[in-house]
Parts: sequence; C-alpha cells; structure tokens
Amino acid sequence: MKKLLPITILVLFLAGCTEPVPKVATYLNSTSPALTVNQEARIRSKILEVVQNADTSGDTSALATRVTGPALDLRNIQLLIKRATGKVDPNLQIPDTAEQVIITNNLTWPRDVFVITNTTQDQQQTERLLVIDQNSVREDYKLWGLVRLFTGVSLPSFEVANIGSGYIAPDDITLSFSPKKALQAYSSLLQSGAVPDDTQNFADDPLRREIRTVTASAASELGQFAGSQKQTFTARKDRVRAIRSAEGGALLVGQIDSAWTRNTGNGASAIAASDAERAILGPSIPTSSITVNYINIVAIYIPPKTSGVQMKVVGAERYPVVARTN
Amino acid sequence: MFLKLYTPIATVVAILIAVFSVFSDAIFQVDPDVNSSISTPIENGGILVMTDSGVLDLSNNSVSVFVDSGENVEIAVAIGQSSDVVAYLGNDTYTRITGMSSWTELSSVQMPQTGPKIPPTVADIHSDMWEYYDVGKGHMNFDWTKKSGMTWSLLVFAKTTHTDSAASSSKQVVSVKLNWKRKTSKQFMIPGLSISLLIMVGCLVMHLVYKSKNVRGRHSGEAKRLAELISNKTGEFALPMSAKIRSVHEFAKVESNAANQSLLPSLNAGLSMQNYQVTYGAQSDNWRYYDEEVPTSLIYNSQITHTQSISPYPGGLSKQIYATPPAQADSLGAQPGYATNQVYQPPAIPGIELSSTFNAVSRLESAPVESDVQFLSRKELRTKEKKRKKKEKS
Repeated sequence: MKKLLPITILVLFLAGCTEPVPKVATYLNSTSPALTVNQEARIRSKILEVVQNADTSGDTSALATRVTGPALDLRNIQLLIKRATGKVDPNLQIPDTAEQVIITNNLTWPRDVFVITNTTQDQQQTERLLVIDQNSVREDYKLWGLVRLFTGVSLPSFEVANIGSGYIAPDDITLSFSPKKALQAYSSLLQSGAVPDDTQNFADDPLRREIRTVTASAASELGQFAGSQKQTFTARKDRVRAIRSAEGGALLVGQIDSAWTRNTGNGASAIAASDAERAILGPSIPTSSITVNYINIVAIYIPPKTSGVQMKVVGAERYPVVARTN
Repeated sequence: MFLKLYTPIATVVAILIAVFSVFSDAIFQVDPDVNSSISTPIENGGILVMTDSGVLDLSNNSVSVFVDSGENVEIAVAIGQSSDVVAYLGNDTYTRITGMSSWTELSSVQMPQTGPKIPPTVADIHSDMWEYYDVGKGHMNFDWTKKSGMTWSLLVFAKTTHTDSAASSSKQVVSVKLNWKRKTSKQFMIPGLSISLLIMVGCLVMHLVYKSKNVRGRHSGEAKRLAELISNKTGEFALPMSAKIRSVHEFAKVESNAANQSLLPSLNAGLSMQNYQVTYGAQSDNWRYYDEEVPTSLIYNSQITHTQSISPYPGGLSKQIYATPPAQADSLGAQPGYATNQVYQPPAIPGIELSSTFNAVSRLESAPVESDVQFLSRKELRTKEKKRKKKEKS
C-alpha cells in the first residue's frame, strides 16, 4: 500500500487537471449599505435639482416627483410664503455638499438615507439634515425630511457610509424610547408648555424656547383685549423615520402637527403672529378668532437604552400651514 | 529499503509537479477568454432576466455583458445589489441565471409569475438603486467591474415593440452573454506547489528517519527517561530534548571498521552486549547549560548490535550477513558501570575483507548519578568563572 502512495498522489493530481467550471460562491447574507456613496450623491443631486427648479420657478407641481412626506408639505408652504411675501427665505437653501452621509443597511423598505449637509455657502446658516427615503422597491428615492440643525449642536457619530447604519423601526425596543414614543413624548412636552425641567426626558432646545417666546408675546398682546389662546400638539406617528447611530442610539426625524387658536376678546380682529402667518392669512383677518395649523419637523437624538442620557432635539422646522377663521 | 528507494523518487516527482504547476498554463494553452451565454425566448412581449449573486464575477471581477436580440427589441440593462434586484423583481416572472453549466453555457431557472406584471416599458425599470443603467435596441454591451463589499446582479429587460406582429414577436429570443478575461489562470500553481511542498517535507522527514534509524529508532523513550532523571535530580532544569537525543547518539554510538578480520570466529563471538560508560559534562555546543566543575557522570548501559559485511562476497556483491537478534540484546539486567569501552578484535582471515559496524542501543540505568547534577545558565556560568578566576589570583 505504502509503495502506491506517490503514484496515487500523481494520478489524483493529473485527474484534477481537467479544469472544472467555476462554481458560484454562496455569499453570506451580510449587511451592506443600500446605496454606494456615489449612488447617494447622484440621487441627492437629482432631488436637489428638482427642488431648486421649484425654488426658482415657484412652480411646485414637479416637486412631488422627488419630494414627499413632511419635506413636501414644508416646501410647498415655504414657496407659498415666498410668493406671498416676495422675500427670499434664506431657510430655503439646501447646501449641495454633504458633511456626512448615513446610509441604511436595511434590506427591506422603506429605506432611508440621512444626510448632514455642510453649512450654507455664506456660512450664515447651519447644516441641514436631509432624510431621503425610498418608500418601496419600485419607487425612487425622495426627499422626505428636511430640518435645519441648531447652531453648535453635537450629533452622535454614525457608521461610515460603506458599512451602513442599522434600520430602526418606529416601535424599536432597543432604545430608551422608541421613535414613535419619543416623538409623542416631545409632542406632550410642547403641549404642556415647554417649560424646561430636569425631570423631563428632553434637554431644553431652541424650538421650545421659540415656542415659549412667541406664546408669551401673543399672551401679552391678547391680554390687552382680554383674549385667550390655546395650542394643541399632535405627534404624527405615521411620519417618523429613524436611523441607528454608532453607539446604539438613534437619530429620528418626525413631524408634529400643531394648532394654535387665538381669540381676541372684545371683538377686535385677530392678528398674525409672524410674517409667515401673515403670508398665509392674507392682508386682513375678518374675525376675532383664528386657528393656525403648524407643521413642526423635529430631529431628535435618542440615546441607547442604558445610557441614562436625556433625549435631545437637535434641529427643527416650524411653519404655519393653513389658517382658518372660527 | 522502502525509504531508501522511494525517498529520492518522491523527491524527483515533487520537483516535476512543482515545475509542471508553474508552467501549466503554457502546457495546456489555456484560452484566456471565457464566453458563456444563454438564450431565452421573449414571451408575451417582454422578458426579465437576472443573474444570481456571484455570477457576474464567476471567472474574473471584470465582466463584459452582451445582450443580443432582434432589431425591434428594446432592451434595458441594469446592475444593482443582488438583494435589490431580487426585491425589485418580486413576484414577477423572470429568468434567473444561476451559474455556468459548461464553459460556454449559463444555467438558468425560470421563476413563475405570482404577482405584479412586467413593467410596461423598458424605461420603467429605471431605479435609483441601480449602479449602472442603460437602454438600447437590439444589441447592448457594457463592461462591469465588481465593487467590493457588495454583491451585484445584472438585470435585463427585453421588450418587443408594438411594430412587431404577434407572430414574429413570439419567435424573438434574447441572449445574454458574459465574457471574462480569465485571470492568467495559474490554477494549478497553488495546489501543485502545495502538493510538491508536502511531498518534499515528507521526503525530508523520511530521510531523517532513515538516517537515524539504526541508532535512534526505538529509543527516544530512553532519552525521555534520561530527561526525567536529570530534571528530577535538579528539580529545576531539563535539557532540551533535541540536544539530549543528539548527545546520546554522539556518546553511545560506536562504530568500528576492521579490515582483514576473521569471518567465522566473529560469528561465534557472541558480542551481543556491551556496556558503555557515557560521561556527560564534556563541553559541547549541544548543551544549553553546562558546568564543568560538577562531576556529572551518568552510567549509560548500551546494547550493541553488531552488523558485519564481507566483501567481496561470492558473486561480487556486498551483503549483510549477520545482525544481532534483538531478543539477545536486552541489557536491562546488566549492572551499571559493568564495563567501559570494550573493543572487539576479531581475528583476521587472509584474503577476505570484513567490515564491522557497531551500533549502540542505549538504555539508561536507574540512579547512577553520584552527585547532584547542576545546570547553570550561561550567565550564571560566566559569573561563576569570574569568581573562580578571582579566587585563583588571590
């Protein structure tokens, strides 16, 4: 037997010489980002082209091909205000270069890409947070969320784009608050008057300060007429998108609708609370009671479950959408 | 004999295999192009074809894709991540290219229609998800290079245009051909060189075994006992096995060649056993620890096998005529220190040359050490020598 060993090896080797047809390697179903960095850049430039066309022409009819969700509502109203006031709103700017691109590695839909843009060219404006969403497999990616980040805000770090970031379901259980609950909690906080308090789940933020200020100034004006005001906030649980940060937390963008009803007591006409309101209300308000609906888009950082850190609103947009007289 | 004969043969075979595997491409004149294709009929006006993950990079990371059909057939080609392409096709009917069935043919599986219909126009398969996308008519080709980190699939959509009559469109066929420039295959190089290396290592081992068979063979067990004995004595050091084994051989192996010795008397001499005293302590490069001051003598009983050859043997051959049977050679019963360096002197037989080889088979007797054996490191030794020199001076 032993004598045959070298001969056997030789025979086996020569038998292997008829080259086999290559076999398809079975790949592990490893997670990879839904898009390459180049694809994302290509998609974003297409979206921004559509947005810019609408911005310059004022024609919003084509917006829906590449803009959807809260971002579409927001852009429509921003352009309506622009038409009404004739002023160029610096908030319309969306820088076309990205500071960071956060691409989901979600294998199913909806899929989201979060983009933190650079500051605007004049450096006067903060970074934008864009949420670019593909709702289903045969749809294109569309701009879903658009939020100005607050000045000097610090964001968590995210996985690099060629690894991809994890998907977070609206009722994810790995976080201190699921995205839906976080949005609800913030909405309740705004409802309760937005006064900061250490026991709250959120640190204080510029949006709350702004709401407090405008509410207080409206109160003092309405006080002259023995008027009253009321604000209700409703979290839009169908409009939440979130992506996982590197340390296991999440960044979410969500929409909170609000209605601000103001009554001027003794029959005086109601007044617009801002230029934006004036733009949608028109030149004069015939009645003493109005309700203005606002769209609030917020970006919230949710820390991981055990971190014990407060949630933090890192960016927001707040625009009046529609007003009605009561 | 097996080892003596086959070791060189195996070495030559190993070298041949190595040479063969390095030059295998030239020997077989491997075709540098791989062309593999598949044709599918276009049914109901349109067909979707995709490749499974791993098909595009079957033969090389770069592939040229050729899609051919009739002049009136609109074609869209796209490349996307495999999971996206599968999700995109969803429950549609499509042809899945699963791999190669031969060097020239691709294999495929037909996926049944269970859901949505084929997109109405070729432009409709455009998607943000595609890394590459193009539309054309009749014939398309493009090159694709795999991007790492993701798995990619080709998606082809062929659709007959309205100008086609129903009859002709039913005969339309779309063919997908993948062309790879084969990596200078070197396919035999790694396995060939590995086999060759294995054989060579095997040969080397066999050679060493053969070389030391007569002296060492079965006796590594004794060397181990020696190591145990020494380490028991010092409680601290054991000599490295390799050094010990080598040294045992050096000391225990005694060879003598005697010319013009008597043949017959030697056969009766009964020189089957001898005891040798082996002294440790002589300086040698083999020692890792050495201290010449300590009398480190160990009694080492050795068994001698005595092999004799006569030359010329009748018929002109050399032949081994005698070897001590192992049964006679057991020296376990011998007393320690029985004899030292006995030299066998067989009487001469005129006209016949006799060569004798003594091979010592060594066993260590129990507890022969007179004093404690102490092993020092070289550093300790140097310190000790310095002290001694100082002492001598003073």
